[in-house]
Amino acid sequence: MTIITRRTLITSAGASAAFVLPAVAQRMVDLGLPGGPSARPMSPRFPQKRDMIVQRIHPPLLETPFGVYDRGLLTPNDQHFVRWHWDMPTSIDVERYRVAVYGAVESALTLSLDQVIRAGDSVEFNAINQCAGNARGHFEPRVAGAQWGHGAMANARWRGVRLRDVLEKAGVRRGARFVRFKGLDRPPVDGAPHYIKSIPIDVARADDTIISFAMNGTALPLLNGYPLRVVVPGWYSTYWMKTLSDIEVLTAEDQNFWMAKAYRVPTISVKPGDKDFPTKPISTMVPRAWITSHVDGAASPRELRGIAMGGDAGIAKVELLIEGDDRVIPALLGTDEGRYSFRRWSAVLPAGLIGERRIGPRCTNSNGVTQPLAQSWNPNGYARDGVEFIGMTFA
Amino acid sequence: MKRILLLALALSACDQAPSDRFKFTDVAVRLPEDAALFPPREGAEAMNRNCAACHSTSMILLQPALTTEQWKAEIKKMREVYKAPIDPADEPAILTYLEAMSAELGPPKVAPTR
Repeated sequence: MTIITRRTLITSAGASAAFVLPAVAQRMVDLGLPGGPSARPMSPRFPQKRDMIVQRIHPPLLETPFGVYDRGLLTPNDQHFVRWHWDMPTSIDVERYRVAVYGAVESALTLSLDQVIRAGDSVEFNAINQCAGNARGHFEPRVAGAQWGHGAMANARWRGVRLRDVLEKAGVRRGARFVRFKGLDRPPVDGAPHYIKSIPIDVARADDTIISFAMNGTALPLLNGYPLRVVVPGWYSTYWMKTLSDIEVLTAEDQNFWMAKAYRVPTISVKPGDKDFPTKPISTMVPRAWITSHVDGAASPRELRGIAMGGDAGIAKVELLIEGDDRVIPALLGTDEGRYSFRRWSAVLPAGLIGERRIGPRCTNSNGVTQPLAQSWNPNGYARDGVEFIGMTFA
Repeated sequence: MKRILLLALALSACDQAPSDRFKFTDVAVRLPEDAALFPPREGAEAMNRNCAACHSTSMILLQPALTTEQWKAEIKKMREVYKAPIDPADEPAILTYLEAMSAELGPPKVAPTR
């Protein structure tokens, strides 16, 4: 990602017509998306946020600038990416905030904020929040949707109360199969489907599925779901409901649009143009890794560092691969901050590399899942999984 | 060995912390408004009338080169699923705009060979 000015943007071929820019210079970034459009503004500024890549003002789609991942393992709250489907709430009245628990329960409840966070002991752990469509803009062939670079992900230390402790207050009835969440965002048009999502009951009852009230030691920014957000570590953020208002226990598979039609992935390998293949709701994340110490086009680096994630498991190893070179260079892993956290890696490049080379880190998680060399493809640009190579020049 | 590892993970995830000291405060924010219109070209008025109320224009302007069929599918989804009140009379002008936008981006770049 390179920082470019408006002047370079308007003089670069093909990019000018796609933007309406105010007369004042605004800082732009180039996400390097194949075929473009690739430039994005770093403005306007959003409440409780600092520098963010503004993909869309309304409803907000804000991307974390990639350099943030090199500065620390935890993403600062004010640079944690933002994604709303519908119009988000702009105020929270603490006294009036309620979470309703209903459906297949012994007694339906309406809980205050204090009742929710005192439903059980609180737990705290690191977990990566990653959009299902993170890096969709890098899919080739390109696909429609939010055109993210690699910054629709963030790692935070989440504190919260277990969802199962809240469910137990209401008493889950026999036959419960899924738990559905709803938040305070609202579609702007009557009849459009509210954003609601459900997870299997065993995931809802897991030790580390929580209703979070703090990230990195402080309350969540409203843009990230203040005051309460569901955290399902190891699962894509589509299930991490923000500004949680409803918890509904279901006895059958959820047929709502956001489960039955959207956010689904093929169950088989597909290629562009394929039709009528079986799909399932997207669920757990896959291992991934990135170089953070250098950007595409770096000159003669000797040592590389970056971050890796195991997806729904810890990290077993990270290796550096050089295209056209059979050597596999083991990376040194940084401190283990928990299986759902980013983890640092670093590696020294072999001597004698010459010319332009493409280099990428490959992560293998503790379940033995290894990133594929090439990116797999699906028509919605979900769950990017392949090794992220970047170009480097060696003299 | 595996059991020890699992125990260690469980302990790290069960770091007890009292929640009763956590204090919430009322929050109200003002989100930036987006008054941007579609850049002028044939069909821009139809775009502004139908495609800028629910979301910023950037949602469309930042899309990669899509085929006419793909754009038609997007319009259909906006109308049928998200209930966007798109005037059928404006649809040809909307398509003209989107097609010209994609044509300007040219054919998609080919992935680097590995």
